[in-house]
Amino acid sequence: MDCCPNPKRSTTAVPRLPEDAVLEILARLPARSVHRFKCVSQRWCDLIADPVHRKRLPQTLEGFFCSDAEHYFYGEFICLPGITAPLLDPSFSFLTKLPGSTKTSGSCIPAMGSSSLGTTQVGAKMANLATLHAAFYGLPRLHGKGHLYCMIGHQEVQAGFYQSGISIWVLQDYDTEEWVLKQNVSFLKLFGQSKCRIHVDYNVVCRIHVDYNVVAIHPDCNWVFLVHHRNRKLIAYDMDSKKVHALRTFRHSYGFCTPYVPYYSELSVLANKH
Amino acid sequence: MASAGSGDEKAAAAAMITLISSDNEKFEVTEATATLSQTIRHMIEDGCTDGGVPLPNVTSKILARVIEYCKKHATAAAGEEGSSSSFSDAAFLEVDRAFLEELEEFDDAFLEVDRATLFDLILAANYLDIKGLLNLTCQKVADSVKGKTPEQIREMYNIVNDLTPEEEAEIRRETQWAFE
Repeated sequence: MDCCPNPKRSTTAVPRLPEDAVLEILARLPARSVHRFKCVSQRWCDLIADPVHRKRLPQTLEGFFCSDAEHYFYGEFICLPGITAPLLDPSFSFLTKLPGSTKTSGSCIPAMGSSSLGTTQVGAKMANLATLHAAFYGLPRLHGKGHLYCMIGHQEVQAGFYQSGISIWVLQDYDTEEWVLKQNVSFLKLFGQSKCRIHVDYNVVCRIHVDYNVVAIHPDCNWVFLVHHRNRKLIAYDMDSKKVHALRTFRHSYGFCTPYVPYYSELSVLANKH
Repeated sequence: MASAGSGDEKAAAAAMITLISSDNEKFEVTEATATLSQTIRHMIEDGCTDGGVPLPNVTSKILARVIEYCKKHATAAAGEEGSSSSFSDAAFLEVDRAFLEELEEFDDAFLEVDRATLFDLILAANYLDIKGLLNLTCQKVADSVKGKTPEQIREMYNIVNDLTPEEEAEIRRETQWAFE
């Protein structure tokens, strides 16, 4: 079971750590390192992949709950490339019992326990999601890899208002408030279209619709997720390799996408019952 | 806990415990030092430390280092408790800060060991259940492996890759984002 001795190297150098100690070390690493170390050996892979250890190890973005604009509730889960679909029901069927109903079926709660919304007020949170989302869209700033990002559209006035691309800025230093331009990327590259329209609604002060949305930034790698409304595509843009990955084309019009990072905490509401 | 009188506390502070390493070396330590280990604390509570505590998993070399750590941290803890009554708040904070700085310096120096010793310390901290020492040593390893590739990890810790090329390719494909 143990490492085979390599005659060229001293095998006495490093003792074999018990599982618990390896987990203690992995728990102190970023999710990116932990996922990468699945390749070290069969033992490391099993250790990291074991659902029993999920609560101790760092988690990262697994995908998005999505909805078409026509349908109010989420009905779909979009996995990031290479992520196996999490064990949850994206239709949140128990939500039909809301609002006001306190009688949520027992089997739903453990399912929610593995979601990022695992709190005592699951129902309330879910009901508020639409509102939360509206606020989220208003924010051009997003978190990624422990930094604050800001996306600014390149405005152009040419027979109407257009944007031709976006600038991605990152707050490099919180103390000096130094924003650094990470890169510029054109819509031609992102969406295959050189321009995104801006609709200004003159009836409502400050109501501006753009043809795209920045949905999220990956918390552990330099990916930005954007949605283009006209062609209904959700894409991931890799800021390092400068490659665009198409993730999904929505059937109807785009409604909303909520990033999902699992949160494997015990639900106090369940603990109290025992 | 509240039931323990001050007389008992004094007696406990003076009580000595004998720890016996795997190579049969005996170490006399105060109970305050020994009880940083939850494992030994439980043994003391169960009254089974008479005649010494055999630690068949810990060599004398490592046990000496572990005791060094526990002594320092037990003294720091006792110093903090003692100082709270005899100093004004400002002076207490000043002393507190000095203690913490000294402790941090001690910890940094303590970690200046080779990889094998570091792993032995983790094993001992895990076995003896010394939270602070386990945290310190695991953080040191975590800092040293952060950003490394699987190949570098295998090289560093002499781990043989027992995944088949197909299995490895599959994992790499699945976790592509982590490699970019």
